[in-house]
This record gives sequence, C-alpha cells and structure tokens, in this order.
Amino acid sequence: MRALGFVPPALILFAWQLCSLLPGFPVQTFSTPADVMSALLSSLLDGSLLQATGETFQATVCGLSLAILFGVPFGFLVGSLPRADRLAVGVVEVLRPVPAVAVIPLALLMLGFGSSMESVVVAFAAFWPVMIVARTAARSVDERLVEVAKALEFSAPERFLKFLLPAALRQLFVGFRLGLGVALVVAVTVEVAVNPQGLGYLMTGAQAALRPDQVLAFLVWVGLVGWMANAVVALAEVRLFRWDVVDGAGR
Amino acid sequence: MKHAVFRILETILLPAIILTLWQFAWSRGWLPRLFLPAPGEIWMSLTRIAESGELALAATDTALRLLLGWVVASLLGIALGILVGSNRFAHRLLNPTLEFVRSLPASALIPLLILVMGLTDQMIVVVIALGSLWPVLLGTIAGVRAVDPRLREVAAGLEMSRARIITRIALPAALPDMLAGLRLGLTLALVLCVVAEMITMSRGLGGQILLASRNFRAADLFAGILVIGATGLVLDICIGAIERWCLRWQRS
Repeated sequence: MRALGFVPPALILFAWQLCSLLPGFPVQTFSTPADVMSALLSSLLDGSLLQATGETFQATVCGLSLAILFGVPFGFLVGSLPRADRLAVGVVEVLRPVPAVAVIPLALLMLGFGSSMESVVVAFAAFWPVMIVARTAARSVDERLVEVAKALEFSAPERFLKFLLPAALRQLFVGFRLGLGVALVVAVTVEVAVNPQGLGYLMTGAQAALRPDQVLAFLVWVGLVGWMANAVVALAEVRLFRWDVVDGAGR
Repeated sequence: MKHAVFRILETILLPAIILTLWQFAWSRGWLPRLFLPAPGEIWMSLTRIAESGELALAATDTALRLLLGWVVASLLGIALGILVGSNRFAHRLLNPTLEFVRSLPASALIPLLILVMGLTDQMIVVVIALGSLWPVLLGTIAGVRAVDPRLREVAAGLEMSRARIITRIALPAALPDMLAGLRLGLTLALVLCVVAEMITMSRGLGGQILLASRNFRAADLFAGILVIGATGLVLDICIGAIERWCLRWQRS
C-alpha cells in the first residue's frame, strides 16, 4: 500500500509532460519533467552541483558548530542556575524575536560576502533551538544524580563531565537535529538572498539565466539533500542512544 | 509588590549594563564605527524614521503582505488538513508527497516564483503563503487524526452527519495542534517576507535594511533590525492571546 504515495507525484509529472506537448504551453517558464531530469543529471556530472552542495554544507556545519559551541554552555548555565536565568532573560527576549534573516545585512556589512558571513547568520539562527534544548536538559537532570555526585565529592567540572553531560546527551542531540534543519534552511536562504556561493546562488543564477529546467532541478536536489541530511542524523540518533533505555522507551 | 519590582530590575540589569558599556566603548573609539553605531545613534535613527513616517510606511507594507500570505496559507492549510486528516485514503495517497515538499526550504522556491511571476508584490505574498502553509496543514492533519476513537464511536452512535462530526468533534479536538501550526506559520511568514523583500528590494522593512547596509547607514540598519524584531514580538503576543482565548475551555 506504500506505493499509493507515489501515485500523485507520478500523475503530476505525467500530466505536466503531456501538457508541455500542447501548443501554447509556456515551456520557457515551466520547462518539462524530461528537461528538468536532464538538467539535474548534467549538473551532477559536470560537478557544479556537488561543489555548490559542498559550499552550502560547509557554511551549515560551521554555523551549527558555532551555535553548539556557544549554545550548549549558555543553555547549561541558565538551566542549572535560576539566578543566571533571570538575569539573562532580558537579553534573550530582546534578541530571540529577531528573525535570523534580518541579521543578513548586518553580517554583510561586517564580514562582506563569503562563507564566514553565512556561517554567522546560520549560527544566530541555530543558536536558539540548541540553547533552549540545553537549558531544558540541564533543568530536567535527575536531582538524585546531582546529589549522588555531590555526595561522592566530585569537583564541579567532574560533575559536569561525568554526570550532567552524559545524562543530558540524548536531549542535546535532539537540539542538534533541530539545529541542523534550521541551519541548512538558513544557509540556502542566505545564498538565495545575497551570498554568491552554494546551492542558493546556483538557483538564483539559473533564474537570472532564464533556465527553469535548472531552477527546478536544483529545487529537487535541495529537497533531497535536506531530507537525506535529516535521515542520516535521525539514524545516528537511534544508533548512538541504544543504551539510553529509559528515555528510549518514551519515544 | 516589592518582589515584582525586584524581578523587573533583575531583567533589565544586564541589557542596561551592556548598553552603557557599548555607549562608553563607542565614545572612546574602541568599536569599529563603520558597522557598530552607538546606542544613542540607533535611538536617534528610530525617532527620525518614526517622525518622518518612513517607519509606518515600511512597517504597514511588510505587515499587509505578511498577513495576507499567512491568512491565505492558514485557510488553505486548515481546509486541506481536514480533508487529508479525516480521510484515510487521502492520507495514504498524499502524505508522502506532503512530507517531501515540506522538507524543501521555502526560500528555495523564490527563484522559481520570480521566473513565473517576476519581482512583484504578488510573488512575495505567494512565497509567504507557500512557506507558512506547512505547519498549519501538518498540525491540522495530525490533530484531526488524533481524535479519540471513543469520540468517533459516540459520533457514529449518535448518527451525526459528516459535516457535524467535523465541526463538532474533529475541529475542536484538532484546535491545539492547529493553533500551534498557525503560530509557527506566522513566524515563518515574517522570515519569508523579510527575505523576499530583500531580494525584490521593496519598500518594506526587509528591503530597507538591505538598502541601509549597502549605503553603510549602520544606525538605520540597527533601527530596522529592532523594528523587525519588535514586529515579530507583537505578532507572537497577538497570536498567543488568540491561542489562549480559543483554548480557554481546556484549562478548566
């Protein structure tokens, strides 16, 4: 019965190809499925698509790493110290409603075009989900665990490394997965809007060259890449946290 | 009372310290003035664009597009969501396609829509509508599908008509998920509106901040970012109030 899901896309493709044979069909704006397919294959074969994918992923991973580097310690800090949480709330509530895309012109002014500017915007966007998940994780660490660690006279850094971090790891990973989704979307968005590199720029270039077949081919590719990235991380999550039986049962 | 005052002081303490240090470091010339204006300058820029009416013009421009796109997406999302959620066959048929299309970044649709519609206002509204459709649609589908089976049996026992089942049982049950989708959709709508305005260099807030950045008007740029943030906050507060009002029966 799963095959049923393939029926609508197949029907749309078939109808589209059929319509393109009619006289008067605006092929210049809508292209045809066959042309899109050949555009996808040719840009895969000449390496341009893979290079652009690499550029987008580089900015995504850099930005996400920055977000994790700052977001996890900050989230842990405000999650485990209520006083720090109350102090930080003013700054957080001013910055959080600002959409990451509104930071694009500022990053552009500060860093110019290139992957560093893109990474900064991605980091700003991915910081929030990562930080919030880290804060929740720190709050929900079992009180008894903290007491045990204290009773065993572990030092604060040891308590963090040996108790808090392992206990929160599974939840943190959920934050990373959310962050990755946001990061990839924002990276493509920055490229579409201003930055001349990566998949987004490839699409705007194809649009400027009036090549709907390429625009559509890259669109399909972006969807595939995003879907695969998410699938890989979801698989890693299952593999990595097999030991975490208590949480695992809840999912 | 005393406690509440203390709370507020605690909240504004850190922002106040940051602003003071920022202003101080700026007046000493320690900060790169090309892209970091003083807080005082940003405030002056804000009051200037507010008085000249530029702000009102740009903000209404953005708000109208955003709300138009969001309302279209919401109506479409709820209607389609009820259809797909209440019909098992439709769900099997359409869900895989919806899941794939959802994973596309909406901003990646912009080049395609520019090809089809050109750099127009309508294009921006369509981008917003297509981008903010998914949270409402998927929320409604999930909500309708999660209706308590016993409620379905009750409905069948009462021999309710299909339309009555939808309005009396499915919709109220799906309301929390639907509202969460509407809220997320509104956030996405603001993001897409700003991006699309940057690309078309429109009169709205997105176009204005990119223009400010290109002309090295850093104070205006910061003022614009603040206004966009405030717009997001106001929208979120409004939809939060609507959400609470709609779900007031749930708390009791």
